[in-house]
Amino acid sequence: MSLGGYFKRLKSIMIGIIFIGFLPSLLYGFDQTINFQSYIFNRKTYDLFPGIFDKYVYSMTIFFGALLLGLFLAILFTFCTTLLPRLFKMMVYGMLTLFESIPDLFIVISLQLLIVYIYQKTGWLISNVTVVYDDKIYLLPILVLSVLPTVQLFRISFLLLEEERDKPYVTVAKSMGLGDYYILFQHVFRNVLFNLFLYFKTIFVFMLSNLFIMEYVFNIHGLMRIMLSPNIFVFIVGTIMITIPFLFLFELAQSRIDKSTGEKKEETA
Amino acid sequence: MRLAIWKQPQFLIGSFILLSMIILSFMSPLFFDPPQEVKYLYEDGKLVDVAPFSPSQVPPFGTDKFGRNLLTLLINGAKYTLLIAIVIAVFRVFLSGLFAIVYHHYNVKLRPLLEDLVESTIFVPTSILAYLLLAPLAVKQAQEGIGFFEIVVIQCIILIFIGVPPLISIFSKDMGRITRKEHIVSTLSLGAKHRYVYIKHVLPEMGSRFLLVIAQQIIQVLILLAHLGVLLIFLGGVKTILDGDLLSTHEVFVSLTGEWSGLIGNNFQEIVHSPHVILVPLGFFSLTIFSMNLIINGMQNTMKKIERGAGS
Amino acid sequence: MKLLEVQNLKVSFRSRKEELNAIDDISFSINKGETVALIGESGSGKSVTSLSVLGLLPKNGRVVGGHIFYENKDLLRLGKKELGKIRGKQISMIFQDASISLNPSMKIGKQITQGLAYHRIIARKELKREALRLLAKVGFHKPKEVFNQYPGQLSGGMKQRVLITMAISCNPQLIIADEPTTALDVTTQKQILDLMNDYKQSTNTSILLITHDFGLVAEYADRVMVMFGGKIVEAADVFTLFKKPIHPYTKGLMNSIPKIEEPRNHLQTIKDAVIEETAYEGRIFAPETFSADEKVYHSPSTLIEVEPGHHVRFFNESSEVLIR
Repeated sequence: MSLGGYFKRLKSIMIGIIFIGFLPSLLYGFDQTINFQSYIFNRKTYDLFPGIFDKYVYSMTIFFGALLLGLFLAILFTFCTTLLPRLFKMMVYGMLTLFESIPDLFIVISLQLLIVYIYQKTGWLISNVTVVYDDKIYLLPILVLSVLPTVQLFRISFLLLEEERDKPYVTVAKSMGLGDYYILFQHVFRNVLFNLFLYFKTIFVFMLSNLFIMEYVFNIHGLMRIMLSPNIFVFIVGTIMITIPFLFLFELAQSRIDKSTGEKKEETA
Repeated sequence: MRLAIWKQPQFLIGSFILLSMIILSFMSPLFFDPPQEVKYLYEDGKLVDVAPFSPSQVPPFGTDKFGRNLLTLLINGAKYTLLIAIVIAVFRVFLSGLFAIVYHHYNVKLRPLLEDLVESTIFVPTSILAYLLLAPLAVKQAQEGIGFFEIVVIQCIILIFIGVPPLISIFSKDMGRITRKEHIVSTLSLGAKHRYVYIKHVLPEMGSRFLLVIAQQIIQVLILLAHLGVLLIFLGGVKTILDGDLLSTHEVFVSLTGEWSGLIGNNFQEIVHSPHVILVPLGFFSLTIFSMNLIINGMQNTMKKIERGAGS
Repeated sequence: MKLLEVQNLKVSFRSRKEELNAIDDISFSINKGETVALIGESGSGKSVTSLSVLGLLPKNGRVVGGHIFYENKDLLRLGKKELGKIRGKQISMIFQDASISLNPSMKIGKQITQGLAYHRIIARKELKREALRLLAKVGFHKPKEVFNQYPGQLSGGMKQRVLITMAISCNPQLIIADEPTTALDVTTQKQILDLMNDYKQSTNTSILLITHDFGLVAEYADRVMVMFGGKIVEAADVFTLFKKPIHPYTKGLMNSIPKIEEPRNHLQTIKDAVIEETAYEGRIFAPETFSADEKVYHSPSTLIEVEPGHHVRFFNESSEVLIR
């Protein structure tokens, strides 16, 4: 990948984000609030800088924590299902479709209720359900946020695995006398992971939306939550801060994919 | 595709659930009396409880805080929710298809203009984008009093357009892939006009893909609606009514169309002490999305079979 | 000395309702340092024969009967572990379509050394040097570059070379090459086969070459077996077969190759190459080759040695009644 390409793309995305930020005024013709110094959250005023970096790190920690946890669980589950007989595999797949249909909102809310219920019954608070003060909670948001990515990644890798196992290169590997487990791990799983990688944009978009709704429902003082602030500057800065690392990751991933598929880089829009 | 899809049990079950929900929703006013609002529950002439009532007090799903029966509300709202989602999804795909042709065809000239927008929407969650564009509308409505019908149309148009940019990029990639295929190249080399190629080759080949994307978009729209409900943005705008006794009045938002996300938003504050009021509508959302997923699975299975049939 | 001996091999495939015989009673042997060609049209059972040697038949196929002896061990009756020791190490395979036979997400260097690493033939730190040596051996000018590339970055001919490198990496005694050059253009074909031939000559390896191309057979094979409908219809050394083909199907195959010397009005296909003669020295050919008639097709026939080392399939004498 080229750094020049990255910066060019980053520039065009920043222009797009600023355009989106001012779209409401363009559409409805009213003045938007722009405040470079501070924003309001839960009726309190906070300094924008450097506070926003703190929120950014916090939200990203939750994001990556949930992503890694989801990935780990999905792979673990996929591996476990390979050991199951065929009938059970079909059942697992059916369950996954069912779970995948549950909106993120439902999961966030019902988990919140579950925690309240546990607290009411036993007095045991897993971790503060809603954050009223500036305390940061990590474990619970990561767990909640990882539920749907786990299901989604599990379903995709499940399908990929079934597909991958019948490919000719597996026969070639067998003809070399490689053992079944060696082939499963070194070839099949490797390719499942690699193909899973191709879904990175979908997963990212999906998880970002999840993160937002979770921060809102749990009332977490994170980056996504404060983007709703009427101060449009927060939105613009926040989005750009998300874009900078992720765009880099996307470009890196894309160049890796292009390398192994041997295709020339298509325009990625 | 047309015949084969009717043999897919998943597709059939999914469509059955969806269709029966819509039909039931349209028929229900004919058979049932409009529900009365019961705000207080008396037992032996004594006041026992105030709305919202739990499912055990008013089966099957209880009531909301205005004492309206949740089941009737949900069935009544089904037609709005589903039809709005379908309309938005269809328009999104239709418009993106049109734009994709233009984009793909005049790629070089239009790219700098569109690319900025298309790329940047990936990094903004749709719910935030929708909130950003719809929230000022609610303020405007409160100040200037826009008509009900008008506001629904404007909201739908916004919801349609925020879904278009990502789809354009998907479709134009698909079209690029199809137009690189050999039969298209040979058609063009034989002197066919571009318009002819699009109508006769590209669009029919994209046909089943369009249907699939519509189904996926319906799910996306439903999730977006649910999110917007939590963010207190309802289709048709809100009506602020005064709730409570004379002594303790407070403002409450009420969705005017009666679609499901309104129910979620209305009762969001009461999530802890009467969770059913939110969980039940969300359950209906899940059911709808599940049947959409079944339909999608059915469609994908048929497509795979057709591909395989053509391949071997 | 016989390296591989296949005796009365029978393989059948299970489709939804019926059991189909893909290979019906095949016997042949390969000596050390010899190239034996298996020739026939697609669907004649060539690939199935080669896959069953290493026990790589797809799930719906199974060996119904027969023996495959390799160095006095019956491969069909070996346990999974023992078979694993023979695969790659003793007998290796080169597959037809290199573009799908390589793992797209694994670097070339790793793919060609995995056999060496897995069978622990050489030390781990030696792997890279060995890989570079092998890559140079199969004609890559920049082995270091190829070592770190992915299959997608190579051309078809290069991928086929990589497959060959994989096959020879563990110094096998026998290489089964299943149409190794079908997917390649003519010039690359020659390079690849010359490469295999050189390797064979320098190491005294045996090759089972599966092909449908008589040109390749003439150039590289020592002995030829012609297969049709899951049976061997004629087998001989390469000179005898080309000089004096006996079975009508062999003749048909040969006649369907365009010849420069004798211009013809139209190219013969096997169908119109039915030769008047239905018998050779009093024996009647099994006409299975040209007839779809069930009864005739399944009527018993045997390979008979008409002269030393030249076998031709004829009808069993008792079943002559069936034909006329």
